[in-house]
Amino acid sequence: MNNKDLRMALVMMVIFIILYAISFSFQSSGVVKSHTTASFFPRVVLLVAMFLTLIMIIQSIRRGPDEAKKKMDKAVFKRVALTMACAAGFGLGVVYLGTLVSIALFIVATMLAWGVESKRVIILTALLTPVLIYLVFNQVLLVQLPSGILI
Amino acid sequence: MDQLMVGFMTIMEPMNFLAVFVGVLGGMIIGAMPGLTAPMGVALLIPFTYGMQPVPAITMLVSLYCGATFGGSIAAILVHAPGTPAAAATTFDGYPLAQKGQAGKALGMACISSALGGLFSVVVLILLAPVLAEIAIKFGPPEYFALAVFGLSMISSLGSRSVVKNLLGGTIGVFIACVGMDSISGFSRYDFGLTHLMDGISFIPVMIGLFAATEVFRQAEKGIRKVVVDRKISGLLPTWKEIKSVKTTLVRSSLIGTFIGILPAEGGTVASFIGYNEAKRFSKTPEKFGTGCLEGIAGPECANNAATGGAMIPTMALGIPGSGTTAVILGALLVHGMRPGPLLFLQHTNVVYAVFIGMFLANLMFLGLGLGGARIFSQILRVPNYVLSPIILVLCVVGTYALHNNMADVWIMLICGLIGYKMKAYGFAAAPIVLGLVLGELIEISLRRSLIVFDNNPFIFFMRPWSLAFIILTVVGLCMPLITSWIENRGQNNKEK
Repeated sequence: MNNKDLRMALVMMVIFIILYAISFSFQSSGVVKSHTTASFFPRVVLLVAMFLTLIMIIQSIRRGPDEAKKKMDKAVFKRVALTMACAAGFGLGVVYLGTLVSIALFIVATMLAWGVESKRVIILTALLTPVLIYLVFNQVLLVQLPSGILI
Repeated sequence: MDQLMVGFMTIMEPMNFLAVFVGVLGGMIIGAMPGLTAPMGVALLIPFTYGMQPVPAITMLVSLYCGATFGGSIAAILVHAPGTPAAAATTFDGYPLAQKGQAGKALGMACISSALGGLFSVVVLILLAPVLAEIAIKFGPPEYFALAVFGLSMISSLGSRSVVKNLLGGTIGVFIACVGMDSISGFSRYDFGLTHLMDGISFIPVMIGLFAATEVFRQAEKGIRKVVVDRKISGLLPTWKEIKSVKTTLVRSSLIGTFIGILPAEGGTVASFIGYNEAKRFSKTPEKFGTGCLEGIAGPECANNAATGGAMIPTMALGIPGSGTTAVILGALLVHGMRPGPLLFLQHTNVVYAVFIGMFLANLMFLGLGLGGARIFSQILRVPNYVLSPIILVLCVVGTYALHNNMADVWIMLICGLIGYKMKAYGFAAAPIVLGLVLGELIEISLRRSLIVFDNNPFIFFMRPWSLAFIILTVVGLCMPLITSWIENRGQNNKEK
């Protein structure tokens, strides 16, 4: 049994069933034929998805056990999790602090999370990137970047 | 011919010429860096094209596609790490030749082969795409439905090794396309009360998330990596005798690459491996393959660039992407208000031919840039991933925001990045999801229109010749992996007996 695939397939099956159930709540004009309703196509797609997930479940049960499972190293996990957290923080920062400040903070935070030791590299990248982004997007492409409470 | 001349004159305008140059240069830089792929480059470049006219915008994107496909060979030859998946087969002979102190010759051969393959495929694109579009203009909803399903079924061979996972990825993509207002009844679906979702989920945030943000998280997993380039690059031009010695390989790989590219969902990676294998099979000295022979570089490099023009044929003429990168280009065409397909050739003739000529020019341009600037491009490999990755994520966020000046798109992009990262860990590839997303609307509309027009008759798809042909091809395409594995298992059992 391939636990990894089985777990994934089961989670997906539950999601597809929930999405299928939600399709019954779609508004309908009470028109005659089923294929003209908004729920027709999503239901067809979800049935296909459920069928494929079922095959995945059968395959994962029939297949041999998981290969020697490589557990993610703690340091690696921490780095990935911190990068994701920095990305989410960056998204929030853009709204509340403004794009340029958030870019600089994001770059510093991500590089520190990755374990970059050279302060010169961190400072230079954190200063140059917002400047370049401002010049390209604001000045050349005329995109108004979100300003937040700062810039 | 007139249209080609108009296209040529359009491309020669300074802004358009510059767009080709920037696209090729950007593509070569992206291609040269291991971990950065062509679809990621195109997805990241789209935000920069929002304010542009369609000709420079699309030309820049296709030029990046051509440049990145060649650029992958730089890292493959110099550091034994393919810059893009399409350059994986180039490592077999490119790196051994570089180890012998002939990195320059290997890069020169890769550049010339790539350019010739690319130029050949653009000629085929110019000749074939309008013909295909003329045939496709007669297609009705049943044919389009069957064609789109055929395109989607071909994703079984894309990215990950599992056919079921690829098909499931494609189905998820089609489902994402269902979110938002139903175009026929006008009722909203899966918007969960969020106004932003009523318009549906845009391709661009999903593409940027799946291709670019996912890669940043994967780089975080790998940690700090520095590439050491210690090879001296000299003598870039192979001799005339050496070029002549691979001419048959070049012709064969051009044909293979273009044909593989035309097949929906097949791309440069498949083309390059077949190009390499066929070069070895027909070689007079197959034993030299793997030791640094020029045929082993010319075969895959010519084929993967030939696949670029080939992949553009179904994308432009039918609206069915020929590869992951062309799926992103298709999304870009939609952003610029053009729907790929036969009508594109009638409604936007000038744009279409300007893009074709732009692609031709891009292949010539990377020939010049590659031969002239190989030493400089090899230095790009030195940029460490801890500098590049945060900058890529910044571009992802700012670029996605620029699409509609809306933070909701940014959150969708980041969520897709996380989902893409997790799915990749479970063996799912991003390309099938994007392909499904791009084809989803076409599949839904053509299916429902067919049923409406032909009075709810599901057999209509089997009663029209083109649609029947596509359905047969779909069934054959889906059964092929099963048949192949059955034959392989049988062969193995016979051996064991």
